[in-house]
Amino acid sequence: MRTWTVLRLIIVRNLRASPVRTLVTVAGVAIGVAAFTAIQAANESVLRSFQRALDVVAGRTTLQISAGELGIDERLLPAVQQVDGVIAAAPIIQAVAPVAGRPGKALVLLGVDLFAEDPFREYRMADGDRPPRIEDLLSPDAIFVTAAFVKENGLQRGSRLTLLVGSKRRRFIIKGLLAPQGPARAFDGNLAVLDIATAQVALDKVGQLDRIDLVTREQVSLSQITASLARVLPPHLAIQRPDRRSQQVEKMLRAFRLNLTALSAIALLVGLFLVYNAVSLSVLQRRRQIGILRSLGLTRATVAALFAAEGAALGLVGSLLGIGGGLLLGRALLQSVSHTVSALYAYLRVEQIQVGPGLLLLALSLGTAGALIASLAPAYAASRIAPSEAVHLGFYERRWIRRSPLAVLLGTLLLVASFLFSRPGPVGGIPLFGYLSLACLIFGVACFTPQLLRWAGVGLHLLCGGRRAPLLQLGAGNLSSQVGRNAVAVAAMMTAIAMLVGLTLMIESFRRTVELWVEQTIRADLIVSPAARFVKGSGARLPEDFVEAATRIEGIAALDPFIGRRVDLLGQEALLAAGDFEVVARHGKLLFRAGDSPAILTRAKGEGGVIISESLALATGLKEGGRLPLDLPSGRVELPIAGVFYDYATDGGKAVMDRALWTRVWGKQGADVVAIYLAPGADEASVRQRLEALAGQDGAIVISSNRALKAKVLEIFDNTFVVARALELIAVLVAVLGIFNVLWASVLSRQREIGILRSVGATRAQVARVVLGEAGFLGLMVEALGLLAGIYLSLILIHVINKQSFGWTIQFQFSWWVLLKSSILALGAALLAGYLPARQAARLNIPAAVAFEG
Amino acid sequence: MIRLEQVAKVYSLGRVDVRAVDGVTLAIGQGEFVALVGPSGCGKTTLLNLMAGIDRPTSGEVWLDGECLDRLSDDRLTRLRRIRVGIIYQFFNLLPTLTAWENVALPLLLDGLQGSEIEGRVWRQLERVGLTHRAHHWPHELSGGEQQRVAIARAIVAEPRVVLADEPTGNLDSVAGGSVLELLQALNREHRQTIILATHSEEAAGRAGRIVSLRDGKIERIEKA
Repeated sequence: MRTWTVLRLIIVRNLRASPVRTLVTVAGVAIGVAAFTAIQAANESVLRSFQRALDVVAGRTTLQISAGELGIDERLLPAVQQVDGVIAAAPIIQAVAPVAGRPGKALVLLGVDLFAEDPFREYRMADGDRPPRIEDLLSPDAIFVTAAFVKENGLQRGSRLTLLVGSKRRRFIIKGLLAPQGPARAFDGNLAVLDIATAQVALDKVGQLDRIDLVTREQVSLSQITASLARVLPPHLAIQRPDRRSQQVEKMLRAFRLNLTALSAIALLVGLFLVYNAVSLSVLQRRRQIGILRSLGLTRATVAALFAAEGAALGLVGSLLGIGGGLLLGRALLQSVSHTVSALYAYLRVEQIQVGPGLLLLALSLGTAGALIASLAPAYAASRIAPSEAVHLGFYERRWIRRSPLAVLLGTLLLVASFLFSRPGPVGGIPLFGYLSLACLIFGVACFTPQLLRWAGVGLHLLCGGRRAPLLQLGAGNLSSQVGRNAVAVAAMMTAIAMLVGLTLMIESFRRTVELWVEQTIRADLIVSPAARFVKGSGARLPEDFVEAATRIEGIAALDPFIGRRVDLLGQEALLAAGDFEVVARHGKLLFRAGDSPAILTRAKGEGGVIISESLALATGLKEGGRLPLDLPSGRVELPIAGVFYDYATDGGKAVMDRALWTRVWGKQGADVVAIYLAPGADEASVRQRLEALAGQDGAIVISSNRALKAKVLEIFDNTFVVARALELIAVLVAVLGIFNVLWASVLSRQREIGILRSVGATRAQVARVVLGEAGFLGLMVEALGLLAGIYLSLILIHVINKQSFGWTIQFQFSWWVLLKSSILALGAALLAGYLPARQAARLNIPAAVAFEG
Repeated sequence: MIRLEQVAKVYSLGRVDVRAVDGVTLAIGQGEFVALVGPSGCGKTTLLNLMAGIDRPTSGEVWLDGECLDRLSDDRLTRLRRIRVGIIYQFFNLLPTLTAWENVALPLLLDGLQGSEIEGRVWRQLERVGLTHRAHHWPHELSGGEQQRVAIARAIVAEPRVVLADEPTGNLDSVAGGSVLELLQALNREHRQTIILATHSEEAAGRAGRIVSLRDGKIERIEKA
């Protein structure tokens, strides 16, 4: 009770008495926590909906047999059913199919043997919908969709539904509506069930399965059953529990999620700088009060505890507001995050934000505990105030000035640590030391701010000498004499600008690298692909007869059919692919880490080898001249690695073999994409027409020109960084609040000085200019430090974090545009933050201010 | 020179109105040395603020050199303070981040005067207050008396016709206080500058030509020294 009374009288009253500072600080923490919560909520929702989809589709399945995207021969099914411990085995085909005429809309097709499904999954027809007849179940155009899908798209039972499946438009008839139970709950209701034979034909996978689901006897251990299955199955097939897939997805998304988390953590960090700043200002303004309280018998420990409690209270309120705001913001971000995940990793439908109590608790404790930690230093400073010392002005500032050389030393040590942390490799695939290097960089540069401010103030004072520019002189004096409060604001905003500069430089460098790569490697005149391929997981490919017929079209000099399947390569999910090395050597170009493109490709074809992407090489440790172990249906082979090439198109890496080798192993399977090189003088329009004619009336293919494909690659690239760019702005916003807080406090604490200025004849405008001048100077300081830190930050992002997370080599490119943008932003933001304090200063009541004893 | 007609100033303190100045009518001529005396809270400082144009009356009129201050814009009032009125405070009110020289130069710098012109005037005033040797010191390096002498130099550097001093000796020992009063007397004598001095001290008031006694915001009596 007594504690609460003391808190209420000393802390709550004070917070109420400084409403602007309290509000701004709470808002700063709230924005930081909101950014963190939003990113985490969006990430968590994406993962949860993946897991949920996998869970409900798996149903009662205990084991799954799969071969990545390579497919399983359906003739293996009877052998699997015979294995001891297996109760039931169900064949599955699963793919994503865009809905024709509805851009962005797609259905997950689940091809199942409807008579084998009972032990695995439960399907229930929607209320009022009668059970389907057997001929409906098996008719080649029958499809079952969810009641929710039908309602959303204005369809009904019996309606026609055209889907882009494989390279064709396929017309289905909705034969029944599924109630939201079992698999129908997955993908937010965007799921359709059809007979496995229909699915195989539609997806050009006759005789093949994507997966075999098993229900096994409880009495027999899964490892025992796995061992028995391995004896009858070829080695390239994986036997695993369904939840293993969810771990794979999680692993696949880890780097993507981690990068966004790190960005949101910076916004949170800037918010916590604000708390440090606010509590420091509070101590500064209340030194007299502290002195009185100390002389009345308050112990040092209680003084420290009171100010720490003030910081924690600001953090708690800010965090609560931030969590609420974060959930709203997360909903807005969800679209962008799930769009990126769908474009880069796997098809996904997330419409609702799903957050566990763990995340809410984490956000709350990060905000509150962070604020508490941030307020410890000023709280300690408050506790060191002796009752007699408190009445003297500037004790606090003098302490800062005394300690600033020490801070420079600490900053130097942190910068050295930042450099050293940038050297080691990743820990478990995570660039842990890279993040530590970033943190040391930010805190290191922050440590330099007090001394630099002091030097800048003194330098400015010497420069103008006080003879011509009294206002500048006053501003310089304030900057160098109020180092403590200014340093923290500069550090906070410097962090935000460094983040902005670092990220922008990284993104611009990355974009320039990708542009160069696109320019040099995409050489085909036309690129043909199934229309369905724009969604991940469509499995759509151009049939072999299309590819063969295309080679005979007049005007085509050469074509390179590309096929790729996601498989597990040395524990890493990667793309195993094939192309025509001879055509690429002659017409195309790949950028190799070492060596010449035609020579490497010719050698790879000759010796039956592979070429691998740089990211796969980095993730697996494979090198030029090494061997890539591959489990094929015929057994394990080790293919020589002819070269390592730069590739920015595939996350997780890529291994490519010549098409002839692929065909020898898996047969002729058509192509995912065909790159076409036109003969000199050939008419592009007529080749297009012939290709379209070849695809037939129901053909659903897309023919892109060289330019359109390049533009598409860059568009996907830009979309990927939308969230990152939004986070940059959030950090800048928080930092603006920091500068505002400092200038506002500065104006309040200098009322007497401003009053004197006004009484000796300074106009309102002149007084406002002093405050704005200071704001501008802080902005310049922020820009100078933020730019230097930002350039170093971008180098860490490029050479350490991105390299270790994704395995991409990015060429650093300095951009004057970034310099200009950040300068305008830093200066503009600082002046904006200075506007209200300047107005407040100009409107000061002179008699009251002059009478005020600061 | 200065004329106050039925001037009142009412401050609203929450639910209570306080009449700090209550219907004061007073005329002060060019070159006069007037002391305002009275107990704390009698309205001396408020009256000085009204005459300096840093506060506006609730009712009545304040005239300075034939201009009614209440009708001037904030910018005109500011300019008037810069050129025609000098103010000296009890707590010196020097800007801590400017040297003595810079503090004195401030009104001229704010008025946009050129370097050479400023140089001469500032050194002249610093010489008059006997502080040329302390010109480049910071306020915290000066004694109280020295700080007040810098404040006087600043108040007169623009050669104003009126100098308003609010308890200028209130924070000084008797020796320093005496020298400050002598300075004010000299200004009045040698340059015919009008001096209006608000003070508690009888000794200080004794140096004035006229003493105006205030009580509860009203003039109680006016006497010649």
